Amino acid sequence: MRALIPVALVSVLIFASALQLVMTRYESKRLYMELHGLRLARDNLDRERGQLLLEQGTAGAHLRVEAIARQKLDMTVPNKEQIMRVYP
Amino acid sequence: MSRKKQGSVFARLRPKWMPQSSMTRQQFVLGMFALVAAALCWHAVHLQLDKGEFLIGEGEDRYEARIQTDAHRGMLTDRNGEPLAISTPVNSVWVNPRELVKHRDRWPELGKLLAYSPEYLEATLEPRAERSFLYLKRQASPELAEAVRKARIPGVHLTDEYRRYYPAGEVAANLIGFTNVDDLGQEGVELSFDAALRGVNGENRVIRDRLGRVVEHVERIKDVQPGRDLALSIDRRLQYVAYRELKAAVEKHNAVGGLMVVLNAETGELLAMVNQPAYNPNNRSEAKRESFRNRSLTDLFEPGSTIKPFTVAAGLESGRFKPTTVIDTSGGVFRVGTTTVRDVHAYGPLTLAGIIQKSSNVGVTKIALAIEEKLFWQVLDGAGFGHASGVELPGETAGQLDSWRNWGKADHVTLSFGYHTNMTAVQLARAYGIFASGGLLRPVSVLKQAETPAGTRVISQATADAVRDMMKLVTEKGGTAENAAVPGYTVAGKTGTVKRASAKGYNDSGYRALFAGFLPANAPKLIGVVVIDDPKGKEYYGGLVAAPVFSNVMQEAVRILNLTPDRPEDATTVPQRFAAWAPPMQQVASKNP
Repeated sequence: MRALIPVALVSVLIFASALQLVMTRYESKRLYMELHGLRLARDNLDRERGQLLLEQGTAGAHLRVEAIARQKLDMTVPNKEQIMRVYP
Repeated sequence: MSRKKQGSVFARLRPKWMPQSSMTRQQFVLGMFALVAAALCWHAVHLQLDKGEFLIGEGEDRYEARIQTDAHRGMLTDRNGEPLAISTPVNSVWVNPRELVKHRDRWPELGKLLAYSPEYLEATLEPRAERSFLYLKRQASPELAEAVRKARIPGVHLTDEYRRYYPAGEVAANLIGFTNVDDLGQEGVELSFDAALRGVNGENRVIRDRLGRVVEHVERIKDVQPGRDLALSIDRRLQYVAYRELKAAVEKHNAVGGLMVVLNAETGELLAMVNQPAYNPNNRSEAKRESFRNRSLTDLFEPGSTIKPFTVAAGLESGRFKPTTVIDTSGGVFRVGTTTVRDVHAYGPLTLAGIIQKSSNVGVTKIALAIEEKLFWQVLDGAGFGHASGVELPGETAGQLDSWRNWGKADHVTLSFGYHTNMTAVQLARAYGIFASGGLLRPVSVLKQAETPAGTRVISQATADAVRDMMKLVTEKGGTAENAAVPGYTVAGKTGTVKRASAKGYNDSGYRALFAGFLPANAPKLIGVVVIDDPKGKEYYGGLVAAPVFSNVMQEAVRILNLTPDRPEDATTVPQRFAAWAPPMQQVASKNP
């Protein structure tokens, strides 16, 4: 009877570790899915950032800004007479 | 009863060789079962031992996959963080022809989506029907990708790829270069810094389910390392102004091409580098190959009169001349051996300063003849003539400067006014840096520098400052480049007009108009070199064609960079301003009541 105690103990431990394994695998799978989702979200944000940067670059291209300033808004670069320099 | 009946049926069907008694029949059936079981066992052992590894591999192939993750190519920005090249993910359409040929009814729909004719689709897919991967359209627009996704045509798939965009477009095309469809650098900065920009693709082993979704991550084979972002020394605003002015000048003078280089005089950083003709890096289908090269680095030209400050500097270094030494250039013609040196006008006696201001060939010839050849060569060699500037861009040529030991008498003379040697625009700009920095030659860089790199001394501070002061006269009244003046600032510079050499020599192949200079002359911040190649109008002198480009660009540059004017006498005083006040508000008021 006494000899059976360690056997029983080990059996319990084995059973517990088996359960633990199942739980860990489940947890790792869940975390991996979460990571995957976050990566997808990051990629999408990256994509959006790139597109916004591009949009900004296109909208703010000097050629375009200058054309709008000159043609639509009738702006000009001030000439020498229109600039007042103040010296300290 | 029924058993008996059945028995009789079996009895009738029973073959002659089968045992008749029920006992032996039972044994026979059991024996058969045992045989089948044994065969199964043997097969199991066979699968396990003989084919085990092969089958495990096959199995893994069914559910395991190696997934490549593309590294994000680093962004290129200018010195202020403005983007010059960005990679953004796009979808590419790929097909599995083996699957797609089974669904011919969907081909017209697919062709319509991708704007391919049925014939083209047929010709592309038919010969590749046995393959399982084929790109149909790379780097599709997001809208198209969405439409393809919604169509759900069997065998048609989407994959993520990166596409490179260049927000500055044509303005910085020759400098930045471009990448090919596989995102590898082909030209310019994209090529020279490809390794740093590219990063390392990652690889993972995963388990997928039937629908291709990743279910489990097995092993990380390689980590993905995104490429580095690089901040260039370029200022996108200056780059644009230089592009605009250069393009206008090339068109105005009907020139073959042109280029401009702007350097930071204090650090040697490249601030702008533009080429004409240029191309649109975002759509290269119509670009000519020859417009891809960066002429500021690859194209050699003879510096012509822009070399004269170096000749004069050598004269001052020799100790035989002072800035006030008078040299007789009267007649405007001077014979050395078989070579005849001519000036555009006969100027008479000129000081060294006057020789620079009027660009007298006779004057510099007399200086060159009076100094040791070795010293003259040392100044030119020290200023970087014949040495590549070492800027981190592909395709740079070094130019040529023969060693003084190999000079003939005529070489010595022609060198003094800029023939018999050639260089690139970047080299010329760097060489002018020695006058801007008090005699130091600094390396040129296209990357933003954290600190000023150390320079090498080429000429003494006194000589450099004296030549700089002489070059100031060039842009003032009576100089050859009044058009290079920038209101409110002192400008030091030198013009050049060089005959273009062709295979036939110097005959009738046109001119090259040059201007090199820096400002504010008293504390230089910007160095600029302008080259207009073969202006076909009436004007071809450097002072008339290239100098105005320099002036226009620098006027904007000083405003953009907020440089303090160093010529206050140019500006009026406040009371004067108020007296001459013209109300500009009127115009605005009348337009917007």
